[in-house]
Amino acid sequence: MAAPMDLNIPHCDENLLKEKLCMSHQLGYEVVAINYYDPELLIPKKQKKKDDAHQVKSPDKILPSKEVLQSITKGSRKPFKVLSRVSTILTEETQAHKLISEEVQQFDLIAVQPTSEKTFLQACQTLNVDIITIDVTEKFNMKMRRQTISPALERGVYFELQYSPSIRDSTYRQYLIANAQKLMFWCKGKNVILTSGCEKAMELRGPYDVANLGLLFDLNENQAKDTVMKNCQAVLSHSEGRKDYTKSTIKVEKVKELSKTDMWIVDKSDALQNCEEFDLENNAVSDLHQFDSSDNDDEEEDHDSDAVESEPKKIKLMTT
Amino acid sequence: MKRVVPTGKLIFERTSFLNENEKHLQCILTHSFNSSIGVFLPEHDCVPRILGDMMDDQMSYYVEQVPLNLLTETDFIKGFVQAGSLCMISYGTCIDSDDCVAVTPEGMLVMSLCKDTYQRCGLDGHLSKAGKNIEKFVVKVDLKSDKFYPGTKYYDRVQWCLSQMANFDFLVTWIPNDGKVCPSSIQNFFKTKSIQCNRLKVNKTNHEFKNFNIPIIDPAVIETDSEQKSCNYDEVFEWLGACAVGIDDYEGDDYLSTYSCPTPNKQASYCIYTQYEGIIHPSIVKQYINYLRQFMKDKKLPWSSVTVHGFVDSPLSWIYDHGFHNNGDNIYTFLMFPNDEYWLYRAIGGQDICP
Amino acid sequence: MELYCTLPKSVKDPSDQHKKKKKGNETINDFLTEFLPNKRIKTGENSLKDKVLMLDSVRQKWEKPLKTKCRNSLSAKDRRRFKVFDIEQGEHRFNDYIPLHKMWQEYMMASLDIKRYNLPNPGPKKENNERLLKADYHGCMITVRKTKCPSLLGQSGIVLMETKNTFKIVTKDNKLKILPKMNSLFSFTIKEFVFTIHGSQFCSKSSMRVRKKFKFKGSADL
Repeated sequence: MAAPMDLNIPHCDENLLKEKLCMSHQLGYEVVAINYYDPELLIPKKQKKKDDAHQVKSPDKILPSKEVLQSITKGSRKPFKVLSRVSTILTEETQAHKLISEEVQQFDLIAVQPTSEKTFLQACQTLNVDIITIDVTEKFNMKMRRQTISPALERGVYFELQYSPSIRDSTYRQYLIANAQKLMFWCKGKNVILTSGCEKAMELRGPYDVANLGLLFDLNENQAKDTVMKNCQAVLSHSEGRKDYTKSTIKVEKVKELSKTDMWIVDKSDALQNCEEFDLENNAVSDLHQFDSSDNDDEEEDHDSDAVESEPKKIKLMTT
Repeated sequence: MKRVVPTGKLIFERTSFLNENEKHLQCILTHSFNSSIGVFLPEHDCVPRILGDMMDDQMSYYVEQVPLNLLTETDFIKGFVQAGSLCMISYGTCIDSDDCVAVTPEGMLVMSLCKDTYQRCGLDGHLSKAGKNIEKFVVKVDLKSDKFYPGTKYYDRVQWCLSQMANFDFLVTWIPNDGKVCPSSIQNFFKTKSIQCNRLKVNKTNHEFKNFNIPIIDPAVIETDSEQKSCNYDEVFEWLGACAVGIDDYEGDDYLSTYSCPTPNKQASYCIYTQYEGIIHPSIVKQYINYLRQFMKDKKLPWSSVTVHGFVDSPLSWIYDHGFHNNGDNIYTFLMFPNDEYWLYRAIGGQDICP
Repeated sequence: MELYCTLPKSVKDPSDQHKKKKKGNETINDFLTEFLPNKRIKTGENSLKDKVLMLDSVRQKWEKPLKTKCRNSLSAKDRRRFKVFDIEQGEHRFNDYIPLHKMWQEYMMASLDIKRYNLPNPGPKKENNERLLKADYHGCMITVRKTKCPSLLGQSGIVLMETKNTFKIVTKDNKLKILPKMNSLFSFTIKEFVFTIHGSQFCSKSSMRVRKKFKFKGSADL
């Protein structure tokens, strides 16, 4: 569903968080991600002051409880989903391996903010993240080239711009517009999302207003609207591919947890349903395997088991 | 120079009701999903009672959580789709972010689906033409078709696919072909299927204007010239919109507003604007406009206007795909004159297709 | 047709008119017009102008060098010719392949440890999933769950053959269907778990999948 989404609401204390969530629901956002910002995640151990092992908060602690969510969506027919997100700053390339650790991968969304050219290149090309944050509080110094950005576009990694800092301060407004226009020039308006990053509930803006803001960044109308809707949905499907699907290929779910609209899969997958009574013992399995009866015990499939006609040529067939 | 998409488009036509080639009936009857109808009567103090009764007598319902395969069952098709003119539109769904479903009076089930739902649905459809790069797919099923009956592969496939989809809430209005059948039988039908179905109340808003400036409009003159016999057509449309919202006292203070009634204008002692909101069947709109034409001639009004708004979230506007970019208008206004001439304005969204 | 015949007299005779000095090409043209059979020369055109026949140092027609391919396996052409993997029309019986399906289920239960999915620890789950990537799917009861092509949705059957880009299945209606892997999501169930395969990432032969290293490629979107 291409619903309007705000994928960056920073984590804070309970009451303020509840206010922000209420405000975002009222404004019309259907999916929201609570951002746990941890700048120390990727700092090498030697530089840390404390000797304790740095513990990343688990997503359960960040997300609000069910009662809070119910109180926010009371009486409203619109769905409201809250996701968890973690974001860090990447200063050195060598520390990026920590992002693959289990604790970080548990989050629904992972965002990284590169600070140097090398880390930016690394984030675009290889890192297993969903979002690359472009800092709007400073002028973007790094050289952007088509070769740097195109791997990110192909992989489905999205660039994020936050608009709340520009509401707070006028210099940040200048930086936001300058950085955004530079980014749009190189990525042609694709793969960009606009998020809030708000510190107070009053810094949130409605989805159509944020889409209008996109027009200032040299985007056309359709692209500007996509930054709040379609592109955010694409980020979510990228994170699903990273999290649920092993190597983006296979996903496992419990039958009980399937949604109502997916239950037909279970019916269709049952081979024995509505079939004639089958007597396995009498029905000789060996009938199928006409040629190599010794391969019955093999678990792996044998190409010869299908009906093979005799060939006039004498060719040595490959056996698996 | 970048190509700028307009915020909205306005189509203007000037013709007469008596003209044989005119398409006013087509405009009214193909605009299936009407959410409100508003009438402006200059130099008159109240809307005739018959029109009010017409609106109140109309049976429209709000039905909750309808499974879509119910709409393809034979008893529903024979009893309602074929035996009358059924208008259904899904409620609470935004056309640009959710799935929207509607049934037109011609018996077409139209679904505007998101990419995700379309890929899980299994029915064939095309990309929505309401704008560029919009990832919505429109699936149409002809319920009145001869080939659509149980036993055919197509029917079974449609039934199976629709049963996998979620339930929707609908706004329903039905007019039976046979005058003896009561329209409330559709409510009984839903109740027998244990689906909650409540009568929808038509909201009425009135704006009365006293000692109010109204523009002088000559049907033959569209644009003002040096003699200034008649107002510009677009200024009149804007002024009608201002009246619809109830703006009456704007001529006083320059600081608050620089807007003024288009010239040439004259003062009228009473004017009234009445709007009815709900779901209004196109044939009722047609009766309404016909009655109003006669009423205008009888009471010798200089002109009168009827504005019909379509649903912002409807999947169709007239016969084309409808979308919402930042504007979901699909409204039309008849500005009628006693000599059977009329001006027809149609306003649509910037990326919609012109009807 | 006479391949060999004696030269005409006028050629032999040196005092013939044809041998009078004329401009070079004209002599040859006249000679050919007179002595070539009529069919060889189109009437009404000066067709001898551009006719060139190489008499000497003619290049031989270049033949493509034969591919020295490994002849241990059948080529695609041979496979089609000998109909190695075809099943006759009458032989598409779903019930015949149910034993194959049962065998596959046993194989899967043996190679995977289903109980691992109930554990909270994600480590063993990942190992399991990697085994799934290398597993063999012949005999699996597969269903198309989500696809860009609407008519493919809901097709389900037992996999008879898996090629690089398709699954050949036999449906419950005893029909052989070929499902392309691209742009589809396939699902199958084992006990109380539903597994979904992203077809576009799975486009490789079943034998090659064992060796192939799967890389994280991108979104779950089709």
